Amino acid sequence: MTLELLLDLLLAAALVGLGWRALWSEDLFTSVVLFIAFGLLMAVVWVRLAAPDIALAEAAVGAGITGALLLDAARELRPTAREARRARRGATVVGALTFAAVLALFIVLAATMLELAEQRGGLAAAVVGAMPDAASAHPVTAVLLEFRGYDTWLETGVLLLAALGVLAVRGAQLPTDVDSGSEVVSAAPDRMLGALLRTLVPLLVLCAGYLLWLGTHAPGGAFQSGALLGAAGILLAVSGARSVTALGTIGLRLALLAGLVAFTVVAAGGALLGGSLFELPRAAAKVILVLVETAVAVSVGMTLTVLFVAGRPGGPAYSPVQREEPR
Amino acid sequence: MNDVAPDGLSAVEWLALPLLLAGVAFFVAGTVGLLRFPDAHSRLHALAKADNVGLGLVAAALALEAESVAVMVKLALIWAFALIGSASASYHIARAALDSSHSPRRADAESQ
Repeated sequence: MTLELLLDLLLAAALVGLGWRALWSEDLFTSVVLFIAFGLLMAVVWVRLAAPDIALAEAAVGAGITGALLLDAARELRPTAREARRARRGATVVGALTFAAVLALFIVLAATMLELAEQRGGLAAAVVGAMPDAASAHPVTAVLLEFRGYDTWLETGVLLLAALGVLAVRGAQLPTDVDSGSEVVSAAPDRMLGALLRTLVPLLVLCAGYLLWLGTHAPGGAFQSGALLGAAGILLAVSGARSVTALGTIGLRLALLAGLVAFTVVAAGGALLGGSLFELPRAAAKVILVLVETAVAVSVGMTLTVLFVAGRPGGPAYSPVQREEPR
Repeated sequence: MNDVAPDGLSAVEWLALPLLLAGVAFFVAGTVGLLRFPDAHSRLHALAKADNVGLGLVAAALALEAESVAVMVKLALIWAFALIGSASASYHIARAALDSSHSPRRADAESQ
């Protein structure tokens, strides 16, 4: 097993190295790119830890969409040379203190984990024991949607709040008028970009659907497929394609609300049909779960697209209402 | 990852090993090019060409050791998609670099 240990040590060292370089980079753009690489390497680490669901989510959201958001932000935040020098001087003290605090936290956590390692329990045994009651064949999906469906329901609410927050602060809506998409692409409409979109977006939607179906019995599920849909939406929005804006305000609101509403209907329906909250009728459970997952995936995709599009700093194409802020 | 068999490598592994090493060599070459080439477009050459050949060789080595045809097809598809992705990305990066005079960093709002 020493080869695997070597691989794990290399991964850990690479993670630490990437994190250090991402933080102590001269240039903001470099930091963001290194952060994206860090996210991808983290996904590999999750696979090594036998958690493919988290790896999928990390690669899609942590590396992909967060990377897109950060690239946008980095483009706007170019410190001047003097500001950078001043920031760097102050940063060493703060950096040293933070490092000491994090090191202390790491030691405490490691000690706790080593102590807990003797009691080899965890919830895995309990979940496996309860699996016969679940409609999904995959333990992670069963935990997310059935055993702890309450938490996932609230998570969809949190996502909705995040999207609403961004829309409220930016005062923007996805523009419904026809021409606003063309301001983003500075040059003439690009044939390569169009060809790429025509290939990639249907493929993304197909993969999202596949991950959704896969989630019932293997790593996958609503959030991962929602992340793929969000990536497709961001791709469309960035290239100025009008497919996203063509949704209109009603479509935007429906898509954002779909997940929470579907989940609430299912939860309340369980209660109204004489059971308890979130209790599903045994026979139809799998179908109902797939429908709820679809709605959640659509919502997650739309939320991520809105977070990116409405959050773009000062882009004239996406906030037609307000230009009074200085850039 | 397979443990190396105690009595040496099997025949398939003897075939796969040079492919793997060649792939790694191409990746190293691509990385050296990335670090040493003077401007964005030549660096893109290093990335798009050397790295993808390296990926193809690594995928071929893994395909030789694959358990079933399905895995081989998946590896071939991975390489194909990586090619498409890197080709399109290189085109767009090169175009963007050209549009903003080789500099991806502009504080003023000239490009976009």
